[in-house]
Amino acid sequence: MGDLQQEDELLVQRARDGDRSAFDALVRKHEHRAFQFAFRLSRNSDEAADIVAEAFLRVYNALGNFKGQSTFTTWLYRILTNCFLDMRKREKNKQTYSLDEVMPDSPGDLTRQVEDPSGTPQDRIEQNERERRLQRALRRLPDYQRAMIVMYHAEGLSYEEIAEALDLPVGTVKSRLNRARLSLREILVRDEELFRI
Amino acid sequence: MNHDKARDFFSAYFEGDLEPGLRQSLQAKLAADPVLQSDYSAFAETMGELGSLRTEEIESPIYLSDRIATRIDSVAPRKHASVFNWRGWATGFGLAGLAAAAIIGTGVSIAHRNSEYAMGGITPAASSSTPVDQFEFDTSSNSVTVSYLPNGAKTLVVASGTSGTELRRIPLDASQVKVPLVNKLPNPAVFELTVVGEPLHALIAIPGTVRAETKAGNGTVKELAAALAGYYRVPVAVEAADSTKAVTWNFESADPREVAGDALTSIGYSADRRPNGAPRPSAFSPDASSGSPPPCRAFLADGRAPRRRSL
Repeated sequence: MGDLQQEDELLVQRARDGDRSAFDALVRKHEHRAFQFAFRLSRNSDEAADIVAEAFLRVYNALGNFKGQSTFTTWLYRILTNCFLDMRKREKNKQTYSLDEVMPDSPGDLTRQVEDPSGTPQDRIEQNERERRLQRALRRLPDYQRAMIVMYHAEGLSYEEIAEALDLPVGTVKSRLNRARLSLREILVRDEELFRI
Repeated sequence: MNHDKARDFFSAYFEGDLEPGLRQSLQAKLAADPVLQSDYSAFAETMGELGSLRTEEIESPIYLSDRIATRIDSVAPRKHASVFNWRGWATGFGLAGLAAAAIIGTGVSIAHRNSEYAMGGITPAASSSTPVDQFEFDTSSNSVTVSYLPNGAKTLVVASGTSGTELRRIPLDASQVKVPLVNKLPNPAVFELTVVGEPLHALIAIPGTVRAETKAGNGTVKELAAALAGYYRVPVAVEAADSTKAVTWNFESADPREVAGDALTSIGYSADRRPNGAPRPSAFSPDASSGSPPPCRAFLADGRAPRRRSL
């Protein structure tokens, strides 16, 4: 077991025993990585911060359930992903209209063009048009596929870690990730054709 | 192997993870099917593009820690306020003739009052919960209130940390006082608290109405406190024997405590976090190699991260 993992387990143990400072240390240690992941999923700083806050609350409430069978990081990814998916589900139930969604009444599935908010430093960083296209395409993937793509390609999780985080067999992760990449490719190709017109 | 089935193996083939029999079949199919070949080329290109995701730099927002803490506090409120024992600290370092400083991020928003630049007043405490000869920074009522209970007759002086102008002189007779501090100016305000006849004093920097944009600078410890308050919009308490020491700072980090620690460490201070207001004994122990105390030490409260109101 690595030192960092061992440190996490000790902190979890202490937090479970009611040591709030241990839990705070756990938060400090993981909050940035958690935010990165949440931001990559939501592409919105405020939403990502909410996801992370909700995830740590769930972690706090479920400390007793953490048995150390997976790493704390993997467990956190799982909770973050659930928070993200739950948030999306709630949004869909509210029947709000997403500007990123495909407009069904346009010929040939036109994507509504939205002004880039550029409100966050992260947005400004995305100056490269190729990256912008990729981000646009990722946003159009189903949430679950996007989570898998982000876990593997952005967060650097292995297939095994993703399988643990999503509670799926490794083979299923591989085949779903393959489908997600193919879907992404199709979106990118469509996008390219659209811009060529 | 049909076209769709072949596509199912693209990832494994790309990653060299396909078993030899299937790899040969796919290679044969690719060689014979230009459409599939084109599909695979596009897929490989996408895999390359996905590699760029890892290089994206994402900075955590300043309010993240606070948002997390607020959520956790809603189910498990903290049981303590930050308290700094400066008498013990003075004994450890002041008597050695050495400078010392403590920076405490109190992490609350300031309720602006109607006065332009004012202290809210002095409140005699009904009951004394403040330990003797300790400053307590109360951040629970939307203001920074400094509580002080002397161990005998003393005089507390509150002055402007910028101009040095004396704002209040409070004679004390072993009873506790509470001094609320507010700032309604655009820039951070620094208050200076001194106990007459004591070697140490405390500085409280309170953010103004406008967030400072300057991320890097240099100046005295006092100016660092003001800069921290202005940039991170968090009240900062400094307890220092010498707040005129020169420091350099850079606000790249989202955590003002980390920044303060870095800045102070650079001039030979060491920093420690205080989970419950009590200094860690190890932080006070003399340097084992020399047998004498280190030149300076700083203590960072391990309280809630700062709340930044206007971004």
